Amino acid sequence: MPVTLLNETIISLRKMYKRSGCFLSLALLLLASILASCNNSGCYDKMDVKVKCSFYSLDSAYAVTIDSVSVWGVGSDSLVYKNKNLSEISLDLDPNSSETRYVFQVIGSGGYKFMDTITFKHVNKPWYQSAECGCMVFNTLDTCLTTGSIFQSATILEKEITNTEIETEHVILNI
Amino acid sequence: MSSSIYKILAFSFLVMAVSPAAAKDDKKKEKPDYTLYQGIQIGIGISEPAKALFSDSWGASVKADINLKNKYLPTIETGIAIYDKTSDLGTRFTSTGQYFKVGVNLPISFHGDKAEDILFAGLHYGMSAFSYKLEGLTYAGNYWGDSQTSVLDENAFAGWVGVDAGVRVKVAGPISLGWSFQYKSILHIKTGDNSNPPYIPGYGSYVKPNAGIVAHLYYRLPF
Repeated sequence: MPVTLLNETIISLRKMYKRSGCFLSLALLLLASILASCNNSGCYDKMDVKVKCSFYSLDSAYAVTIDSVSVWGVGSDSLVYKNKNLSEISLDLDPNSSETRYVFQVIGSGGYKFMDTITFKHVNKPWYQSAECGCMVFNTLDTCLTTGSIFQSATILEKEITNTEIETEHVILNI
Repeated sequence: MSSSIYKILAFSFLVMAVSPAAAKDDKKKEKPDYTLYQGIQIGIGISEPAKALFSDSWGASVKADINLKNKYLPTIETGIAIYDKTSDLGTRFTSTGQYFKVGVNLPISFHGDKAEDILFAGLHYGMSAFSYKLEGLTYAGNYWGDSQTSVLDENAFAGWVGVDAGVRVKVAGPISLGWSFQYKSILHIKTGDNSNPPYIPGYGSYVKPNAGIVAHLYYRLPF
């Protein structure tokens, strides 16, 4: 059947060629350019989903930079930040839990260590993006708590945490 | 999206630009005045079922077009498509659904009183409501470690526009064979609650734009 189709197509196209030769040439050119443009391999989407927290004064009047900051997850040995000067942090939330806790440590003058624990309560939502990019987990923030040793309060500005770039931060931590 | 629309428009203009040339040529030969109704052709998709042998997707389709004055061929098409693919990472994607297309083909050139042999280009709108499952999804790279989940009850609706160019030739009696090249792009989509659909019945993989070639076996109705 494919051979018959091919033969009949060629015969018929020959009959019609005088009137359609121009079209065929254009169509072939176009076909080549279209096929060339159909190469969509690779992931071009942003796949980071992190809660972005900024540091502010207690009255939220001005942004604050904190020296010698280290951050790690409760129950984990791996450091997210190690002895950095920071005005904001971006943290992964646990996709297998509705609560994520991070230890926030600052080394003050004289080597004294101040520690706070930031607790995020959240709802997780898996999201499949594409074959090239795979999947990620979006979160909806419910609560953000601190222990008060460094941060006096936490204010949620944006509950939805997705891969979309946002202008501001999700959470303000007041020092 | 804008580049997709540009490409579709460019293609349409090319087709339009060439059509008058063919029409002018016909005038010199005292083009016959065809009656409005020139027949109906029913087509069965022969490429979709064959894809089961070498592809992750397959299906079945039936289409009909009515020939008006050998100038316009309004078409409708309906079909089903099934998709079952397991990725290298072990994620299994399954999708099933129906689709419906409507549009018009314009003869670029034809041979025979009832355009038995025809070279055509056309514009179509397609839509599909379908369900799909994603099993064994793995998210990696999170500070808290890798994780796996499944999304089992996703429903989506998509609409797309396609430009076709193809040929249909008479084989024997009322039987014809034809193929067409399709270039299409999504116009609108309502995704599932937890995912972008990996596959859209009638459209193919969810990429913009998409392209494909389909073949049909046609039967000309005897009236």
